[in-house]
Amino acid sequence: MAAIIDRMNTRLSWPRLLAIGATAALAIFVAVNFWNPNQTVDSDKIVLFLVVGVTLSAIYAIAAAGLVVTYTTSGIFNFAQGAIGMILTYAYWQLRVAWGLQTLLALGLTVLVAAPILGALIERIFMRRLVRAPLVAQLVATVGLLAFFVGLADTVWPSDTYRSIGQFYGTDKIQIGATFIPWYRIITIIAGVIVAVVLWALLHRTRIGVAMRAVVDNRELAALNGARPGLLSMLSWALGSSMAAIAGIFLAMDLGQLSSQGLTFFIVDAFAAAIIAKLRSLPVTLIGGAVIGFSLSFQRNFLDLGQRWSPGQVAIPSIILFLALLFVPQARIEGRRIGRAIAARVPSLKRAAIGFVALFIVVTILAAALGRVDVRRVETGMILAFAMLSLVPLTGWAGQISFAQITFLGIGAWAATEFSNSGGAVFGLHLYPTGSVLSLFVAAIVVVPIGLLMALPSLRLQGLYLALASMAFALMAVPLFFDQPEVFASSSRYGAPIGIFGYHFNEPFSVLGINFGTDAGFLLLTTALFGIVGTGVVALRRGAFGRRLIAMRDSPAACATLGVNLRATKFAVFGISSAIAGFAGALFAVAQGSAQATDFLAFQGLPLLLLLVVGGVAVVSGAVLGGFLLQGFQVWLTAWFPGVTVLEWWQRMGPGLAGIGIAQQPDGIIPQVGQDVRDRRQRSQARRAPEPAPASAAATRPAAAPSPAQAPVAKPTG
Amino acid sequence: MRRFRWLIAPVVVTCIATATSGAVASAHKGSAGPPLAASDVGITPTTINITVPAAIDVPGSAGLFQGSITGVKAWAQFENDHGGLAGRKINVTGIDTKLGSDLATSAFIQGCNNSVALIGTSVLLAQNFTDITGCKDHTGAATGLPDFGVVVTEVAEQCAPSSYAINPAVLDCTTKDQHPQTYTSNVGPVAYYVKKFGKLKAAFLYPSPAESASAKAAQVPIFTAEQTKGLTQVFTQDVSALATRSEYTPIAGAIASDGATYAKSGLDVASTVKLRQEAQTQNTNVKVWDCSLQCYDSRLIGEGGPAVEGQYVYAPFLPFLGKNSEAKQNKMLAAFLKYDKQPDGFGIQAFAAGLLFTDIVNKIVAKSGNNGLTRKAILDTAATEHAFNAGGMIGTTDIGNRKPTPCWILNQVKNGDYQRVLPLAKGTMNCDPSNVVTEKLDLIK
Repeated sequence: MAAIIDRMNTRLSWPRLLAIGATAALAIFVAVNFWNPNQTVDSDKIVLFLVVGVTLSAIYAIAAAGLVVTYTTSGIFNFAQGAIGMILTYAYWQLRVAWGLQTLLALGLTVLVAAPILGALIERIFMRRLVRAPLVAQLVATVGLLAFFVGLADTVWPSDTYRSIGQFYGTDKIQIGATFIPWYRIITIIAGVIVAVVLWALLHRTRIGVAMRAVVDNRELAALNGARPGLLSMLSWALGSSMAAIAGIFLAMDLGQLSSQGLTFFIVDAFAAAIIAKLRSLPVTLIGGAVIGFSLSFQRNFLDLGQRWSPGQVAIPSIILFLALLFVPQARIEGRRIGRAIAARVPSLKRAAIGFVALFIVVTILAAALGRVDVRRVETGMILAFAMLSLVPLTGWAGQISFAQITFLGIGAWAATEFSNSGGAVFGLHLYPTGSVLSLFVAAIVVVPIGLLMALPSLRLQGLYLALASMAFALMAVPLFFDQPEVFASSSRYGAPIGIFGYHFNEPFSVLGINFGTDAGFLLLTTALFGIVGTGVVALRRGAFGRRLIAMRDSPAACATLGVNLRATKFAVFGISSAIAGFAGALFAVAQGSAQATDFLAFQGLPLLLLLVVGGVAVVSGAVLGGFLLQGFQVWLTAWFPGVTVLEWWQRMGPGLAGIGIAQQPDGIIPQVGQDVRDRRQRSQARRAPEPAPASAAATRPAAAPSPAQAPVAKPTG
Repeated sequence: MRRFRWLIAPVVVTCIATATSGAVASAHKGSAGPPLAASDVGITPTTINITVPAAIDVPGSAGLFQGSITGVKAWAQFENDHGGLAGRKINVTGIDTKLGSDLATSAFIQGCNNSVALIGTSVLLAQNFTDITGCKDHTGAATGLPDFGVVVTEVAEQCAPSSYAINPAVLDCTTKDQHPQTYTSNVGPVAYYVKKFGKLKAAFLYPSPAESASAKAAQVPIFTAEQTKGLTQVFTQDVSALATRSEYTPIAGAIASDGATYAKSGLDVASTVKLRQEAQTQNTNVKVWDCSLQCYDSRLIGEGGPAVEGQYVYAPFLPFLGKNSEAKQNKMLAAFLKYDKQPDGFGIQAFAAGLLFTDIVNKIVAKSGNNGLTRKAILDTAATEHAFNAGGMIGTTDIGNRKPTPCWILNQVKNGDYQRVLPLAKGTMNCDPSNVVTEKLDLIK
């Protein structure tokens, strides 16, 4: 008994109890303040609440179960779970609706044949290479897989056609009280329970299930005991894919029209259920699904959020995810990430400055030569590079994975429009004229406190859990902040063109007889600012702070032992990163002339990290390449070569394929190309040099060792 | 010289042929007046370039405004097959602006650089219309880019001096900077419903403002105006386009428990289908399921099946779907159906917007000749279009003053097809002035 009390005391520390109490108080506050006064609580209403809650719970639970199975048995958190479910749902549509197969046959072919084959292929071709890759590469590869499947679905099943898989048993229904339940929902509920029971039995009551879990805990040890890690991992991905297919098909019945993005991103709401289960317990996953399902049902049935907070209903799953991440015990959080950290060569300040000057010259030539539409396209690429630059110190060096940069961009954009139009009005004072370039810097400063707020979870969370917390933060920010009347008010805000000494940067101008058209000036300003901030970031990396970031990423424990203030370091890097992102957001708002909430949806932030990692997450030039790659995929390919079908495919699937390619080279393109060039140069020099005497060769060996900044690090990414 | 004698015959033949063809060509040109010139941006001696910016690839609403592009292309083909406009062929470029302002702005810039006008504009979430209003013509004057839109949701576009939507918005642009503003709404057949079913308790369903604030803002004045015609609101709800059918269960439950007898969907087709399916499951007591032109879509019947039986749909154009198409009663509608192979509600309006452009160009040509066609002339003439009806295909509309049409036709889904309910005579519309209600609301902050 004493042991149990002791265990409870350990688990429920006072801070956690306080946090739980605060959350409960908040929930009660919301329930009391937003209670719908016109709503009567009677048996019919309670039945309705239960029916909706159970149905939503079942869908979320099945979706989360697939995530848990994949993570438990492979150690990789699969962001593409929803996309796999989506593509298999389209496959089911093809079999059932387009080719007219019987329902059960189509279902069997999809869930028992196509899904396991797809899962096994994904594991064999991509995921097996990622087991020891850095966490950021693992996450980006699955995000790439997600993007690829969405692109593939849009290519094979173009979105200009209405597709629906209908519902099992059509309009047949049963009555409970005053509420009617269609049969497809009963089947969904039953399927949810069956899936959970079968999976639990498989993983805990069969030899193969135990072996699958053993492979994750210690791949080598399991192999020494006769397990076949490769086969078992493949099996677990096959199982996870089947779960995704079941969730996708049931979800599609409830969604009506098939939509590649709708089906894919709905599953993100189920992340909270998996986190509540600490990514390992299937029974608790069911409970997690129920927490989401009944919360949504409660809100729909009993609360009236009013005009201001009505967009907030879509934030409920992300709020639950955020809270779950804060309350889930830390033990599991970073238990298995033994991956090679991304190590990149740090350029000298002189070399960096030369690079930025070269970039400016290239952009200047483009600004003078291109038409206005293309100038704006280059400008967007530059702003995307700016946004990605904010992730270089945060993710590339400090190892703090963030999906929330898009939110910082949004806040920066809002602040820029606000402070540009008002002339920096604060407490009745006007700090500068309307449209002053100073508004960009004010916007960057405004974002810093929000960045520090995002740093708070990082004090407790690391790696995957921090990434998910940042995603939840970005998901919550749109309805709870951007959609508020004081911010974007579900509408757009317009910003005055900025200028300096009476010249507005969007106006045409001439220099040395060269004419620059509309918007070229702003492109040059953006490039110059990128050069200045980029040089600052390189200087940061070369200084003591930069070394502290690398040390913190490589071994937080060792850093703390040596007296490094991890808390202050994390706050500082989050502050710097958010300021750069805010600055990029401000540039975006000025370039567009306006900004609105839909420009800063959480999922629009995924490509930022995806293509930064493709370019090279730990190098500033990676941000430039990433920004232009993203713009190239999204716009340039089809704008410059219209009507080329292959390029249209590449536009849809290219970013995803690039992300998947990270499995081959986690360091990114720029560091890899740089390394290849250096290797070739060394080989060339070695061929040209006369063969040294054995004694002198031994003497030169230490000098050939890599510098600490170059050395690959074999520690957890932190 | 003798060795070149053999060249004489071909040279003579060539000279005769050239002279003959030149004479024929000048005779042809002479019949149409002076030689055709590039009279403004987007107009060459042989072509008139038109741009159609439309949101197509939209998450959750696949192929959203594809109809706008196909409708304009159908119109262009129709005109080209009948000799073109102002002695030139029409060349249409459709641009998918997806969701967001950047691609829309690029489309406007491309339109300004390459086309004489935008027709069928159907963009969502565009914010910056300065490239339409400040677009310069061939003289360098900022005359603006003529914009004959179909889906015009943003106030900045609705009230832009160069925008003349085929289906003008409810806001009176002269009051857009006042508080409150004035709105003029076509309340459709509410009076008919009240007369037929008695006093009705209304449930109104809006699209989520988080997804499209302007889409909801466009419907608030209409729903408010309808309450002056005998409806009493008992329930209202914002609904996401991505809501599952389960999320409609409490909505259907509330419609039933609040005793609503009239339910109007301001949602898109897919969402309206989910609403009707769930309402059918929960056995509501609604007598009138009402919806405007977005529900005049074959997908409503195809996907909704028996669940959407009885659905009322009113629209400001003649019926063209299914067995009850009125192509025989209206030759323009017949042309639309001949040239547009995927006709829908956006397509017919885009085709009508094209016909509006035809009407304007013909007036300019009659007054100033083929080379009088400029953006300025187009805008000046558009402002004088006060009773346009696309050959009777759409309700008569005061385009120049940007006033919504008072006309409508009420259809109802019966036996899996749209059937005309009011007015009963084919080829006609109800254009009673009392269909329009003017009210003051403060919806612009």
